[in-house]
Amino acid sequence: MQEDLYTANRQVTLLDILDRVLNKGVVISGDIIISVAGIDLVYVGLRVLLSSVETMERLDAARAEGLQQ
Amino acid sequence: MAQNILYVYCIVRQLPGADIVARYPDLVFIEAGSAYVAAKYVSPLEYSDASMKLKLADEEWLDRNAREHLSVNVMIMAQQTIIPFNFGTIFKTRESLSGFLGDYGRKLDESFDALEDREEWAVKAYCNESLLLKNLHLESPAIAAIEQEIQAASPGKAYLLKKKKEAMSASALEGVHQGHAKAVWGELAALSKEHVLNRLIPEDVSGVDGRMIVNGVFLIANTDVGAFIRTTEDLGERYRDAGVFLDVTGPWPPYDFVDIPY
Repeated sequence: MQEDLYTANRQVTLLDILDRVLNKGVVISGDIIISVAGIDLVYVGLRVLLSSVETMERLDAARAEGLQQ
Repeated sequence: MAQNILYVYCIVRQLPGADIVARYPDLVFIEAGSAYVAAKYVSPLEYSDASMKLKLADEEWLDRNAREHLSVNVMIMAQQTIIPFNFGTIFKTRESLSGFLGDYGRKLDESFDALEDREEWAVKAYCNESLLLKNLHLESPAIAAIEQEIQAASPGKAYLLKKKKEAMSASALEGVHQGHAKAVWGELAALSKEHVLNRLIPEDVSGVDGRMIVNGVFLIANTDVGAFIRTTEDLGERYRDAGVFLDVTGPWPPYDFVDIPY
């Protein structure tokens, strides 16, 4: 159960959860997309929250490159 | 029931304990080869594209259902290794689910073996920029010098010097962020079997008073979890005065370390 998660004495937030259960971390966008992948498998791809995708991706790419060096 | 579709939670190797079904009576375990899929039957109307668009925009629905998805997986994970499905994954028929698992085949066993006795932990590191900026101004002779010039300058020149100082501060800040992020990431990655760097979440979205500098996820051997948590605490202590703080959560279902080909 969620209460079994170690969270350093705070509640697990919806953002924490979506950052995990949507696999690649929280995707930032204003819209919500339901996409169909495969013939009869329906995967609901969620895009939550605000901000600019382009800005995020640019910042991430620069930082990831720096960390991996 | 036959016309209903399947909402799936995770793949497991053994049938879980009765306590899980008692807590989630809608849960069924569908046998597929040597594995089982934890699932529940839901109405196609309830999970139609049109209906989902409305529901996903409803924060209360999203919160309740995302938490339920996580809770089911965490509860099963306490008993055995799981391969989690992303929130909101639906198969239209039992046959399509079996077919999917059949296609997944050998990769399924490899994923189970790779995850056995390992846990996923998430660490977000943040930086309090006002504290960092204050320290930068105290420590950087160049920034301190320009500050003195501003005090003595005419209003016009002071304006230009302020702009120059802001640019210098921003550049220095970025360098310090990168250095701290690298240090935190490096120490934690060294303790993990695998690690993934996820997208940084901006301050207005995270709701945390600080700029996120690391959003890392780590696959840790069960036996190393204690050392991993102690290291995060140690990093928090060491970097506190630099304005860096860490947020550690886990163990999560291993979302970042399975590769289910959608």
